[in-house]
Amino acid sequence: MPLYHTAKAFDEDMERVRSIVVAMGGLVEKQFTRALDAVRYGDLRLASLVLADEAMVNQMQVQADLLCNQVIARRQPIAIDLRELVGAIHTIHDLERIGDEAKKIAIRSKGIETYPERASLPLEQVTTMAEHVRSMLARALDAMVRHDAALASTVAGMDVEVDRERDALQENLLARMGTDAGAIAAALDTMFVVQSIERIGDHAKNLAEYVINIVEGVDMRHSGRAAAVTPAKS
Amino acid sequence: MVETASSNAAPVLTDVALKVRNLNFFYGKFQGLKNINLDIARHKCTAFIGPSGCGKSTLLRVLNRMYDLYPGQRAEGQLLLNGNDVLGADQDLNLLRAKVGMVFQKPTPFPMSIYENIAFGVRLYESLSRAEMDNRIEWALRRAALWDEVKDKLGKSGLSLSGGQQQRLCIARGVAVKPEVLLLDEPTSALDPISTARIEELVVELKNDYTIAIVTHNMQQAARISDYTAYMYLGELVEFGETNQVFIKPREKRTEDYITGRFG
Repeated sequence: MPLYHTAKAFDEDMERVRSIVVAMGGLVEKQFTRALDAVRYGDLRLASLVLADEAMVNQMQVQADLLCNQVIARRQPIAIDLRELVGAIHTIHDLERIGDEAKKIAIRSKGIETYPERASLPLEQVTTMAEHVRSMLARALDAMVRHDAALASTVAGMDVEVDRERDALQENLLARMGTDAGAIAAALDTMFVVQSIERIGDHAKNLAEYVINIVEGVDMRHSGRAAAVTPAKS
Repeated sequence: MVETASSNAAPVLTDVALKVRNLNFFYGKFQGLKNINLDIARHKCTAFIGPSGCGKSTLLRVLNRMYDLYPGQRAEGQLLLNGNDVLGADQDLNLLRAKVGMVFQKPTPFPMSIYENIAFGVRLYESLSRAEMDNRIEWALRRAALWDEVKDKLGKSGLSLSGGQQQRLCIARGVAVKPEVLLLDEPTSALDPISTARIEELVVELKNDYTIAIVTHNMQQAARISDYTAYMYLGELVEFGETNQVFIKPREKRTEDYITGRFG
């Protein structure tokens, strides 16, 4: 981490931004985990908790945005501070979207739970894919807290694997729908869950890319590059 | 030339007004500048930033040999203005200062009329008719965005103007002799925000016709008005790059720590 600002209040402002981003990250991570467990175990109480937490996520998004705006207005950040604040603003947006996807999964879990065909759905594969995405999200958030670009740069590679898992699951579910009309509704719900999990993986990848830009000043979005940049010489 | 925030290379300038090569500067035995190499782009604004005593004002004073006024101060190396080394003993200093004008931190109007403040410098280099001089003075005051405020009181003392107006008068005085380069040494540090904004706007306007080098302690000012930024520390040039690059992702950690206000 860089040295302290001569103006201590600036450090405190940045710390407040980091705290709320981390808290928001923790909350949407919890939403995601609960939504997945709701699907996996058919525990609808967990699904309700995911929906209940949405208001809190939204409130944190507004608070964090306001805080970032205030710091920009009062401190006119440049260089690493500017990159971190812009990164925080992007991050807040992606976290809110992760919360939305978790909510979608929770809603679908209610549908999946009621189907008699539930036991024959590929829920174990869905869980495996979801674990990978959870790991991506955890890594991205960890990299954000520690300003660890090397850790962040591993997330993009994991996303490729998740996309493969998504493709395999879609194929599986489509085949099922083609042969068993009675399972179409359940398979469709599962398909939406898979889609949401994959989207969360994309958001985790975005978070990781913001970390790389914060630490190394390299915008990885749409670049197709894995990493490789030169940080400032100390 | 396009340089992204992530580029790790110093800018390569194609149109250079001033080339500084292997420049060392001494105040007696103390070395104020250490092997400075730098190109100042024509019709662009280059900002010099760094903590007090880092050598940025010293470098500016070398660029028009202001140091020659003081005994015991000497420069070594090369300073090429349009390819000619102006550090040589045979350099006509009056001519150099007409080509490379300077505006100081505190407004320094002469204790004479607004008109004479500007005419004084022009007369050193040119002999103009009264009508030509009138035109030149109006032109210079317009360039310095001061004409509308003083056109009805050109006979009044330059000292009667406000600080911001006095500074623009000094810029008009510098511009009046049609220099190639304008050196600004913290030109707004004694001014209020509105006057500062006027001067900054003026700098952006003037660089269409002049090469500008500005020393400033105001980081945001450097970010706002300069095309290139040089960060100096302890007499050395630490980093020189496009302003967009320096203020988003400096190459050197020392630059980043300084511009973000971190002590070390």
